[in-house]
Amino acid sequence: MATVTAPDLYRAVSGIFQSMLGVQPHLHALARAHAPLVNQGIAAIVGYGGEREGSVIFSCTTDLAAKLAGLMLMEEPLPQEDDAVDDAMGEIGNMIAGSIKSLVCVGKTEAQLTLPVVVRQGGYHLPHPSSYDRWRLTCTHADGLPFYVEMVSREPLAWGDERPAAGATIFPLGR
Amino acid sequence: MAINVLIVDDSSTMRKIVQRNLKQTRLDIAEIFQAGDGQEGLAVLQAQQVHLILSDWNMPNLDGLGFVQAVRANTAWDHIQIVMITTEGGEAKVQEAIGAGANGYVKKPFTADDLEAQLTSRAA
Repeated sequence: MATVTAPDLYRAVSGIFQSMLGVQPHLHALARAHAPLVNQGIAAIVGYGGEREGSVIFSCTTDLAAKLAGLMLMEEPLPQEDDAVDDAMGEIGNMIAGSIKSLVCVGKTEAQLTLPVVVRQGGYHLPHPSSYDRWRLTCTHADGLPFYVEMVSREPLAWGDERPAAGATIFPLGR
Repeated sequence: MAINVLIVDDSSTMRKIVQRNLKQTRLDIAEIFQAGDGQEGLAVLQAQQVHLILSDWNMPNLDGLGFVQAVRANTAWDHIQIVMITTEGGEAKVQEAIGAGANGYVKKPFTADDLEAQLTSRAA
């Protein structure tokens, strides 16, 4: 069982937003999910395989995706249909997946990331059985628009009891 | 001496970010070339004089590790400094990259300061 503390996960996601986008997301909840995350409009999916196996899905509305892409590029929000939005979503998803992989692959455990796949609208298929552990992190951008990070893992994920740093906005975790 | 830099990354967003951060460093940069994967990167090296490579790891066609190995297999490119910029930050991955001939490593996400610290030590 890979033990990851909730603050570790929050730091990983917020660190990406702070470093690459210059914004601090509000982190609302981490809870076990019993059904796959519905695509909010655009979703970036990155798998990992090896001694650990799973996928990470990052999804938000295309409106928020266009804003995030603009922040990454230090430009105005891009047109929602711009290819650069898909590219930026894939890169954010890639960085989130890399950070989560680093958390679940402790010691000499290794896993390899896949290239990100970006899906607009509609569903997506993950090659994982329903028995895989599934956890969802719910966050909001500064303007209140939500985004989600879902972790699907062959190895059950356990969350440590460490409380988050002062000032972090979270709710109690499911166990 | 002004240096030529090659950025190799399949993400156009990341190439722009790295290019922007490069311009914020104290490095004396003449030209910045870009490639979308390792194969394109090798093609650039065949045609251009490059002193520093900043390469992603996970890329289609020819990934960062294969690219580093290909560069180091050509003695004409021995002088080129290679810094990996990637999400693959595990110790084994770092050792694999260094073993293949990479000179340094920056883990995503990174700040302009992270990049500057890595690159100015390379250029010194």
